[in-house]
Amino acid sequence: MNGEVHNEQETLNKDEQAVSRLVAGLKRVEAPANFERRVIAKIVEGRPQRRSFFALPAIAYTVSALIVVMVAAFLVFKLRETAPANSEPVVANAATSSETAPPVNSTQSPDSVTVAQASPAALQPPDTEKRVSAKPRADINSNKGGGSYDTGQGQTRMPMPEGLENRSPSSANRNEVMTPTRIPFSEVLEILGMSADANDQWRVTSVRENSPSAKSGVKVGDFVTALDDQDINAQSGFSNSGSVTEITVRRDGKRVLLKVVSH
Amino acid sequence: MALDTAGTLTVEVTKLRVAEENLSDHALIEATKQGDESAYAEIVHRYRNPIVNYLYRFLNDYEEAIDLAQETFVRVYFAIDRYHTGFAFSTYIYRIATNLAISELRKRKRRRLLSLTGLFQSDADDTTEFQPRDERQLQDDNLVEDEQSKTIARAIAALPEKYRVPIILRDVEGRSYEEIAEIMELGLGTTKSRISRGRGLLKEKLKGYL
Repeated sequence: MNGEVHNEQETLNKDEQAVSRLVAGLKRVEAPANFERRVIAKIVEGRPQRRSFFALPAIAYTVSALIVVMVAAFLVFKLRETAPANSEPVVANAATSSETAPPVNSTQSPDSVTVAQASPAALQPPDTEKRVSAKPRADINSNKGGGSYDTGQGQTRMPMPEGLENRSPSSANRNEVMTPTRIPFSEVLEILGMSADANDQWRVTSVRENSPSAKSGVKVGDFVTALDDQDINAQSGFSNSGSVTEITVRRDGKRVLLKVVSH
Repeated sequence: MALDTAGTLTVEVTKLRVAEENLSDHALIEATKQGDESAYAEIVHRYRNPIVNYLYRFLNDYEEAIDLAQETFVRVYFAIDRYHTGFAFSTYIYRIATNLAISELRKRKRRRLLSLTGLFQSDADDTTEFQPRDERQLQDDNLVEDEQSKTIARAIAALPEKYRVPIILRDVEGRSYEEIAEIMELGLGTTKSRISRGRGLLKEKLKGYL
């Protein structure tokens, strides 16, 4: 068999030929006499199992790999848990803004007024709310190209990004989203927690406990003359769409300026 | 095969062996597939010495070579249905033997890595990789080699696998370049290049004998 090597036409240099001759000159070993018997015996025994000692390293590698995978998975889950926590303020703001809507949409129950205290900006009549809510939704759709759960709930404003105040919209936003609709003073006063008789120069007939009016110091018998700088007798309705910060009353013939306390 | 005497049995077996010796590898394989175990015995008889010699030169360990050669034949037997006659049987069996031998070397490496002493040994130079010298006395006196042969054998065993396989197949087993390329599943040019490179490495190790 070795002779075949030299029968082939090879272009080997001297060194390669010398090495080839050295290697080819090695004595050949032969199989032991019982080789065939041992092979047949192994075949009779069945399929080869001799590599079983591979099991130990294989198990070691597998266990190590599993541990690494588990640690990695744990870290990934941890990271995912922290990510929503960071964005919680956005969700909270969204919830806050959605909470501000009910007092306006509802029939101004006492509870809803309490909510309105936290956000004077929510003093919106139902008809205004409809128009106002339509515009941001259109903006959202045009800007973002899609909807979300929050917008699907009919919110008037988008949840603001983290770090931005969304309780009271900026003037720019307000001008953008609000229409100059006037709100009847009677409704505004009711939201503030008092009722007044318009036919009796807006004489306060009752003040609800713990309402903004009560906290601001409005008393039964006071005559409301102005909300902020708007004369209640001269104008047909309240036009400040954002909030009421001052209530001017006439008490015992004197003009009293009361700051609205929202909480 | 109804036989009356031991003498008749011997004659019949001899006739059978002679008949099988005349069969090609492919014919023997086909007969084995049909359940003729004596055909496979002829295959073993035909290839036992080349495979043992090849593995011995690869591992430089006679007992391990015998063990792996037996396993090679066992694996070939159990995978006989997957063998097809598109290429030579010798190519097929050498490829299996090569894969087993390489697995054995890697197993040795893993064992060395896992052992306490192995952890602190240098593994930087692959060309001088771990090749424990077989210190055991060979069972057959014919296998006793002189010092030069031992040096050459150690030099071959110290070659990286990718050079050792083609060098042994070419210069020890006398296989053609084409068959070596098929055994190693490489291109012909790459095979020749590796053989040449392997000879160059051997030349460096065997300067004293050139």
